Amino acid sequence: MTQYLLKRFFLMLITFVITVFLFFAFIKLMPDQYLDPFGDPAWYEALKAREGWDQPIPVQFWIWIRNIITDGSFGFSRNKATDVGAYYFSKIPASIQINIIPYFLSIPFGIGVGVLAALYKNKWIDNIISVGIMVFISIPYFVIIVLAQYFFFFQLRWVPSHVVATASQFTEDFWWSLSTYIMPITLLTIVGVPGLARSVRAELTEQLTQDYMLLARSKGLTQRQATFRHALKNAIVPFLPGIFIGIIGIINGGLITERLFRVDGTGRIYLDAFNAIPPDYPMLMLINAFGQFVGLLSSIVGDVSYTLFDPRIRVGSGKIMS
Amino acid sequence: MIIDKSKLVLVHSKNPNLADKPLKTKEIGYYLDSWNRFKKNKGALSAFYTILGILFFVIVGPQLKSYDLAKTRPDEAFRFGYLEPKIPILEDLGIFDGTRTITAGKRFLHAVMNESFGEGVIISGFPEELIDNVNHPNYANVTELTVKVDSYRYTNYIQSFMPATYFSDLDQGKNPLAAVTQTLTRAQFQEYLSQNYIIDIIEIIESPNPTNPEEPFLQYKVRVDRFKMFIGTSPDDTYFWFGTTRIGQDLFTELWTGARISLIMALLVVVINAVVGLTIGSIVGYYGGVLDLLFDRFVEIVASIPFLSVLTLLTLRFGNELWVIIFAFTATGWLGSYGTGRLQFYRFKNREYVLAARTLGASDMRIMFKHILPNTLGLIVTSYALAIPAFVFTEASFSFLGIINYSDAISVGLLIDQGQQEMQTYPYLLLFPALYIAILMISFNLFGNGLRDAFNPSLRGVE
Amino acid sequence: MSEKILSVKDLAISFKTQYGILHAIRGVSFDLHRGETMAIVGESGSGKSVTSRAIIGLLAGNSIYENGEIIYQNRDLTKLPEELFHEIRGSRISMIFQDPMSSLNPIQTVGQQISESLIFKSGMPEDLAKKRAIELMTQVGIADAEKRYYQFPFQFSGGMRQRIVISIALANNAEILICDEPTTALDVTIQGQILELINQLKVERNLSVIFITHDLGVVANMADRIAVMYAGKIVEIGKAEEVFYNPKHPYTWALLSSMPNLATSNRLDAIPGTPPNMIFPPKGDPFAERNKYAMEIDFEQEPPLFKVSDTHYAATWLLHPDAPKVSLPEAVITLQKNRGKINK
Repeated sequence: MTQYLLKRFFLMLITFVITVFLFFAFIKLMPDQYLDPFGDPAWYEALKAREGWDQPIPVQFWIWIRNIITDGSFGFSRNKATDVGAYYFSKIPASIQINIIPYFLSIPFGIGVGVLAALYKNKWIDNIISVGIMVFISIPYFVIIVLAQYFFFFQLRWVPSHVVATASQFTEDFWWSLSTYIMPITLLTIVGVPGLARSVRAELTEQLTQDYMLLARSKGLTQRQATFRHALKNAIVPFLPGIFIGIIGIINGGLITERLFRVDGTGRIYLDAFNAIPPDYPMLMLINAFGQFVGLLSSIVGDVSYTLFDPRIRVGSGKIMS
Repeated sequence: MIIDKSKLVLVHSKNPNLADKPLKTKEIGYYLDSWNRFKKNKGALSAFYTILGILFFVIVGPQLKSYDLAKTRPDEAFRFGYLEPKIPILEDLGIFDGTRTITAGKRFLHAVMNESFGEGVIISGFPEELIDNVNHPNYANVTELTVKVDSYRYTNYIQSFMPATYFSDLDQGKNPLAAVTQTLTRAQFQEYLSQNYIIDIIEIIESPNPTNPEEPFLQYKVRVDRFKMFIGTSPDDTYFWFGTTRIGQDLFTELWTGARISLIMALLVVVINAVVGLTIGSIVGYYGGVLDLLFDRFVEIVASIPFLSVLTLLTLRFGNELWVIIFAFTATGWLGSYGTGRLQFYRFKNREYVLAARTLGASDMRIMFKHILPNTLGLIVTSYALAIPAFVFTEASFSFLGIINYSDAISVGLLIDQGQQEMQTYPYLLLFPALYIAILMISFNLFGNGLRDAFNPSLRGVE
Repeated sequence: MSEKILSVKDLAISFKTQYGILHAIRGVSFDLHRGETMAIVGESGSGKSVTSRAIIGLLAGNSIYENGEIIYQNRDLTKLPEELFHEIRGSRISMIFQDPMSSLNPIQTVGQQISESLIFKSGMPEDLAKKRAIELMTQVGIADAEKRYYQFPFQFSGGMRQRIVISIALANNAEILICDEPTTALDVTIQGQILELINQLKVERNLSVIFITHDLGVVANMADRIAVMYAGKIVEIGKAEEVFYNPKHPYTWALLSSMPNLATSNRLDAIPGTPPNMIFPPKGDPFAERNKYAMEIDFEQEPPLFKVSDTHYAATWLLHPDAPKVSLPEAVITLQKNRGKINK
């Protein structure tokens, strides 16, 4: 098993390096790459030397990687006038802050709703849940949030603000600032629930019809015991890897979330870098590479958890003895 | 038990061999059967009709109103911005009647109430006592009032007759009617007069004519009825069903134009993905071997590139043309069809030996199309039906964020973005596009699910 | 014969389907005596599985009890609510199924699946349950039980899995074991082993077994009594020797004729046609359409059960005193001839 994992890991690494390089190369081919940041020739020369702007692209790539390893520096951002890496990584906590609670809340809620819907299939509970799932999955996420902001803040004034409090506001009034997080967290949780609920509902329904359920009941377990001890476990196992992968994904700031709630996290940085004129290439490079790295981690975690949870893979090639 | 003993006679004494009786029921073809199943799903069926309705508006909507002032005279069009939605029959019920609540200066509103041109502008909220006496003691300390106005008439009033800043301008010694005064030549004056655009003449300026002292140059300072002049109808007869945007575009037209663009693009993207993917997939599946291995690596690399990166790179490099966006979507989108095509051909290939024994070379193609295709068709139709809303979703999200930013086209996401910025004061700018997207997406999803269940009964119960 | 432990009287069950009401069983009656093996034989759709599911109370949600009772320990099981029924399952009446692979939970160890019944039904503590489970596994013939307790179903062969299923079924010492085609999914050689195991356990524990199958050959060594079902009714019921060597119903004849028999070189007599659609039960005898020996009356009135002996009944108009005499099919005659030879 470990052999298999190692091989997979190695392949993924290669793919990772290739894709990062492709992105790098493409960016370096952009016409407005080598502009002077401050109109200061000395600075320009220093930067040029450091990042090797007069070298061919593969060499530049190597220099870039070398800079990362030796200095921990991902490049210099014109717009933010600071080291790209330092700036970006300083914003990660804010992104995690807003993502973490909804993620961990949406898991039990999602599973719970899905289980309910499956157990009461085709009764009114299931119908309401199915309609809810359909609506929330279809409507684009930003539409939901914007509409919610409109109704709950502007019309009904149920929440203190439609954006989250800034760091300075936190120092002023802690509790009020905390309460601004209520709506985003609630909304994000709600938006995260339908996907999981839908899958759990489908899977559980499927499992409830399996033969082993029949055996479980024929040995005298009640429907409830059989459902929770057998069907439920079997239904959830396929989703566990996904859940673990999602945990890694918390780091990525959602672009829409951060824009709509004015969170000072990594998502905004992306939009700023993109919309700047000229675009903030080093920043984009970092964001992309980091994003891909997160993706790589997720794949690894996913693979590992698959083997952990499915005994068929874990115990090896399943030698069958008679 | 009483029975008819005469019936105790063997029926098959002559013929001990029984044959199978032919089936009495008629065979229903796969497609008809699927259509029947689809019809039973009420949700999917109503979704289907909704989609037809949307398609109707997408085709017809943009042409319904020939109002393109924002394009032809943007300098004038913005004057008609922010008109509230007004819909013919519904306005009598009190919704979408083009009214809005505003807050304005007491003196100004008083003027509105008393001018003949201001008739019908204020609908309610202006206190009785103030109508005749603007300095009524009850409102001595009040400088502003909140009233409900007919936004169309009100707009015409402030754009054609008297700006809202009239009195404060007067206090400051500025010309209060500057914004609404037009200076015309005699010829223009005659023309406008004949067209009935003139409200009244403020001043006629004479300047001496050197060539002909008897006929001096005349300049007419007038106020014109802008609604009549630029829109062509009076405020009461003007109906913007979804209201107007900040720069005076008809939201109804803009929305359906944007919808049309996104749906056409969706179709294009889906078709291109299908053609490219299926073609490559078939070839790879058919020949297999080294080609397959190569493509495996290639596909894995392409698949690991996030869509956002591709979109970013392409738009930064090539701008925001429509074809760039389409290319971005298809660059990674063809992978799905590739997988399907390859799988199908792979399956077929394994049966090749059996077929080879029975057929002559060319017939392979025929069997492929007659047998493989119907099986795949169900899958294809369903996944493409669901691919369209996926595209709309992504495109709307990215244009909302501004990552996709068409230079000369409109996007529903953009409308929602604009609407979101103004939702406090002009909620309708947000509501209509948001509602459109919501309904579109829900319908397509229901429809797609219905299709999938209809073509594939074994998946029933799975959303 | 020993005492009756289960009585099915006039059981009629239907199912609501989207195409109409399916009349699965239309009046089935039989008794089960302690220590005997009662085989129920029939084609797919004859109602044999439905009968067994009804006894253990595991019918599908769209089932309707039209009529009849199932008397067990002085209670009518058809009227028993679920809260009381689950106490009977496992501890009094148990069931094993056709496909052992799908019967077992793939992600749980087999040992746990056995212990689970012990813990939940007998209230045993975990360590005791584990010991007992290992004992059971050894009893049903699984070697190295201590180690294999921790293994997963996919690590066992088909025959082994079925043994595990049997050990689960008998963990709480049930007195009635229902076997629903337990060997259909297994290789022929393994089949024999499993059947022998069931017989052995039956003797050891004084079990009463209801054995459901479509294969008369399997039944030959197992059954004390046989009930032949067709289209939701029992068409012939009697002791094993009676049904094999003195069958009276044309369907039984047809079944016996369609068994491959190496001893003869007669043509194999397949039964033409298919069982009727039980949403629209045919008028008269449902078997009439495929019956070589059908009479006019078979198409009009369903025959009642005629008595052949105290223990042997068959529902065919051929047993009417005024019915014409027919000659038995070749295969049946061959069987009768070979009877003496086999017993030697």
